[in-house]
Amino acid sequence: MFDPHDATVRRFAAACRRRDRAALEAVLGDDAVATCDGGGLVPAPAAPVRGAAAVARLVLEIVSGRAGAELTIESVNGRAGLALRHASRAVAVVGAETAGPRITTLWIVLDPAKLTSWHRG
Amino acid sequence: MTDSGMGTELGDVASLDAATAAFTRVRPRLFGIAYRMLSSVAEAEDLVQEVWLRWQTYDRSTVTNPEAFLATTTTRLAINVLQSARKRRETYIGPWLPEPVDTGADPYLGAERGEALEFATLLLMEKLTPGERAAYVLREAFDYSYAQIADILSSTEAAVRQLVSRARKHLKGERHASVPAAEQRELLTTFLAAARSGDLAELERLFTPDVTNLSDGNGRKGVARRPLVGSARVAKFLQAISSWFWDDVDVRWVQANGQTSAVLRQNGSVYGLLTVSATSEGIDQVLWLVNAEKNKAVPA
Repeated sequence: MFDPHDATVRRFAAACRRRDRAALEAVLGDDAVATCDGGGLVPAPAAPVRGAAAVARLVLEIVSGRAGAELTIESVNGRAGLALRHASRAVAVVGAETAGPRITTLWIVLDPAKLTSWHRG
Repeated sequence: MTDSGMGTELGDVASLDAATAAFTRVRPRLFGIAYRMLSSVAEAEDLVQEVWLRWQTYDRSTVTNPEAFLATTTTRLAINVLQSARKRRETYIGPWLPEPVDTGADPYLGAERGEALEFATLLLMEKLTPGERAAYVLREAFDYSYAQIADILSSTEAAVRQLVSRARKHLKGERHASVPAAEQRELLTTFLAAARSGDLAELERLFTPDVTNLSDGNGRKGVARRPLVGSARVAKFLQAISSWFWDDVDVRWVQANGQTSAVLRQNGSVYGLLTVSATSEGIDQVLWLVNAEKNKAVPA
């Protein structure tokens, strides 16, 4: 069954892997909001980041700051989301909310204490 | 206690083998309840473990319906744990998000019972009372009848209907769309005047009841590290700083992240950026970006 949410998350993941800023901005809604949870252990913006350009910049920072990390599409809390792993250890899990072809909200969990069940291998 | 609707024939659970089998059968459901109550995989697993310990040592000959008993124990423990978890979260550094759960690895949690599991819903449920949250989760995600929920919560059917209805209203009401750009600018201007003069009543009028004041100061001296929540608290905070903070501050307007922000300058150099976000209900967020590193791009 075609799920527009899955398709949008796939396009977002593809843009992340290519580190394609323009493609990221295109899939993010103008009022996209990203909230990061670093748990005080990992550097993360302390306030939600708003707007396609700012969110794209944040996503690129998180994804491209880690050479050799692998980004996969996973079932996060019942919906398609993303997991970023480095040497099988999860470094970020991302939940997404979409409206049609656009991402409206990203929840980026970076707190290591919340990623233990996401490690592989 | 009424039957929980899963239609089991567990027979005598007095023996440990039968008790283990009964527990194993409902374990996924118990975890599903605990996770939705606590938004934490680790805390939910601890809680289910605690239920198992209690079940092992309980006088099970008195239990006619193990499923209902176990769901009840789980829910009541979760209500207690949630209360203390919320206290801990008040001192959390930066925004708090639920612990994500891998629903690909746990088909029961995701596919069969996907309700009340998404990040947006979990975050909204943080604003419900523990009782409202329990009633909502049992009703929406697990389809318990109002009578069953009343048994679990030691309440009445009428009271449970109230809890569920309040929870639904709250969750739906939270999804107000942001106001248009022109209105946001207008609200920011009014807000700034009230903040400068420390006008408590006007500030409270502008805010939604659960307005949040967030500062991104990256440990900068004098910058609040924790979010402040609630119109009275945020208004009092702004009134308290109004007597000194604004003395040498002048304001210019910029467009940042698609909305109007105020650039605050102190003695000719940029102190930070201040903005608000708002819905039709009023200002729901006051944001201070006073991280010197991040404001380098802001024209002085």
